[in-house]
Amino acid sequence: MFSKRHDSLRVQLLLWLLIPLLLLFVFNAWLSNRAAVAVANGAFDRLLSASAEAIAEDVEVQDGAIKVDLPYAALQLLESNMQERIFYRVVAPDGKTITGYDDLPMPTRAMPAGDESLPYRADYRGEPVYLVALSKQLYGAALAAPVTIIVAETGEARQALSHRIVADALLRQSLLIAAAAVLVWYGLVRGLRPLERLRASIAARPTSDLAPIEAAGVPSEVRTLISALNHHTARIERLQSGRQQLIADASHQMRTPLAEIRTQIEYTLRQSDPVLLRQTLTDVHADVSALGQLLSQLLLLARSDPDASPDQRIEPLDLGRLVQSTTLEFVAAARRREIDIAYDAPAQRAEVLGNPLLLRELIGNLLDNAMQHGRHGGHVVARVIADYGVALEVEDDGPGVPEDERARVFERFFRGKGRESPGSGLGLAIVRNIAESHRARIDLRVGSDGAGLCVRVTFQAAPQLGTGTTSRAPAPVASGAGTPVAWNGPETPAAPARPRSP
Amino acid sequence: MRLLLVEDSLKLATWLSRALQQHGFAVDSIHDGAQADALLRTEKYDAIVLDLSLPSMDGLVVLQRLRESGVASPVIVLTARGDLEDRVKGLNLGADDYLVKPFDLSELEARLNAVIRRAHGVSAPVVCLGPLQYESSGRTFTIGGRRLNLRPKEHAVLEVLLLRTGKVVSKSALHDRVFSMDAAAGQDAVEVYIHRLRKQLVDTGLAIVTLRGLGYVLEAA
Repeated sequence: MFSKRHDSLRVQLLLWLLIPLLLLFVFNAWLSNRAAVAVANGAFDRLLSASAEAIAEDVEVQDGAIKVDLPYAALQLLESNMQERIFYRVVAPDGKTITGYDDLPMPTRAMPAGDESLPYRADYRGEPVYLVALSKQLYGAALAAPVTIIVAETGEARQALSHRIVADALLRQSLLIAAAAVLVWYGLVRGLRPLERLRASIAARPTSDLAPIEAAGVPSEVRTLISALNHHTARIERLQSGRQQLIADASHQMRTPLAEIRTQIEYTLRQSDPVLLRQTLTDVHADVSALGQLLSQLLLLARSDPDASPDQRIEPLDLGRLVQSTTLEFVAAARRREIDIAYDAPAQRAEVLGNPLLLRELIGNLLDNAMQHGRHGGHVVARVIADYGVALEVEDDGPGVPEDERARVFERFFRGKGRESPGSGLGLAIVRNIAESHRARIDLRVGSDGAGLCVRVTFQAAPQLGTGTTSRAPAPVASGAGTPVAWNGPETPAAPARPRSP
Repeated sequence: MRLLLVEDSLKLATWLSRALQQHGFAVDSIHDGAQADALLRTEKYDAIVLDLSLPSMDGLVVLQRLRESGVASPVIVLTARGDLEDRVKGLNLGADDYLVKPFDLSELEARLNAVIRRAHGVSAPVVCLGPLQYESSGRTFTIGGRRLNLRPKEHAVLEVLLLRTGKVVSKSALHDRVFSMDAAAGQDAVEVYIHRLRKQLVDTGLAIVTLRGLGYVLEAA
């Protein structure tokens, strides 16, 4: 609870305000006290000086002797305060006390010139006293030196005055601080009210509501936070709708073959033909294998989604070796279709930053695609190019893809017109996902002999990131309408696409 | 050949062990990770087929403990997880091969044969490809009963190609197998022997196919 309160913006701001204010209050109290003492001393010292001067008026020389006829008024002047005790002393030039308390201490400093009085402090009869000394030149006396008049008082009155001044100042300051605290609290409560409204409106939303948060009526500082939140939410929404679409597509794609399989099995179970039974089992085996393939492709598609996948580890890798070793894995399948499979190495080492497992899937899907759609007994070439940039190509000499379908082949479950496609329809969608998460560009063009299809994946020049593993860079924002893959159309010069024909 | 099948799905285990028994293995079937771990402390098997998601002990843990206790029996891991990272982890922990469910039965059998052969370090006494036969004891090649007369280097090249049937043998791998380390012959020398071998194999239904950038593969038509 306590720590929770410390998390509150209000408490934090208030603490930030009040703690320095209290420190300032203490410092100011010290300053006020100094000033008050100075004021009180000044006032009371002037009063003492006035008393000393009044006494001095009455110091006379009569018949060569110094006489003091202390006026009652002078003493009355001194007795302004009941608690205070006052002392006086008139000292002859020879140091003898003419009248008053002869043990009252003399000033330790030299008397100022002229008729200036000298205030000073000393201890008298065991307590501190405030004294003023005044010298008066007497004429006609035997001695040329002046007499000294000393008036002293105990400090109760002046202390009372200074205390009153300080107390007054501190009281006013405390009131100011209290008022500031109240006003700040009130201001914060009012100022944070939009945040509270925002919190309530977000909390009241249903989980499925991913619409942007209304930024109207909130302070500009919070508006940037809201726009960041909205940006994030938009990403999640894209992801979610993508996932939902994928699930819908997937269930559709799996229901149809499952229905086929069930029908086939149910029909066969009603017959008692052992030949049919064998035929059906063989067919079902092929169908189930295809379903398994479809399922793993779907999982791979979901996992390779650049929006969805958690940070994949990327590392510098030799694209040539990766393409060669992946191509080797496809040799057996290629030879079964009597396809002449080849690998063209780059002129120099082709290094890219990437996730080796995902890139292997990318290459594998391209090769698989080339073999599915290529010509039986034809050629499939995997190629790595390292000149100005690093790219890989997979080329077949099959019927190719008509130009108007090229942008769509990356859509999942897309199948060209009038083709009974053997694949899962996901291979190129997976390729697109993986390319996108590697910030690579995909181009389709006609194969080098004017036939077939060549898919080129161009990698961005590897930035100098050192050799350690780094986290995946964010995928580029999709640009343009339609496919998010940078789409450059057929490279020039390229032979016109030949429509696929039997 | 004794085989331990560790698979928690009873149905899959039943059908798999039936199929593998038909293939000639003596199969023990067990459905629990901890039990498999205990059994493997006392029993010796020629190969282990290990599912990863098991009750009471994860398959990867079973594998790790097996390897830590020094048992070198080949292990083929089966999994429905299919994670790319999982596969790497399994192989790093000492699995010899890896199959993602669903898999082809014939694929599993082929891989079992391969890992067992690799573990025992012996090749079959007679290797055949189409009309071509090779007896490893006498180191003789025959085609349709007719003995092939090969020079030593040609013999070595054909032996490598035959023993790796269906796989591509790269030019550099061939070179390393056929020429000794100090031989001055470059990799192009391999082409000479391939050329000579092709002449010998004309009209036999066998062909050495060159796959550009990859290597050579021996095929029966």
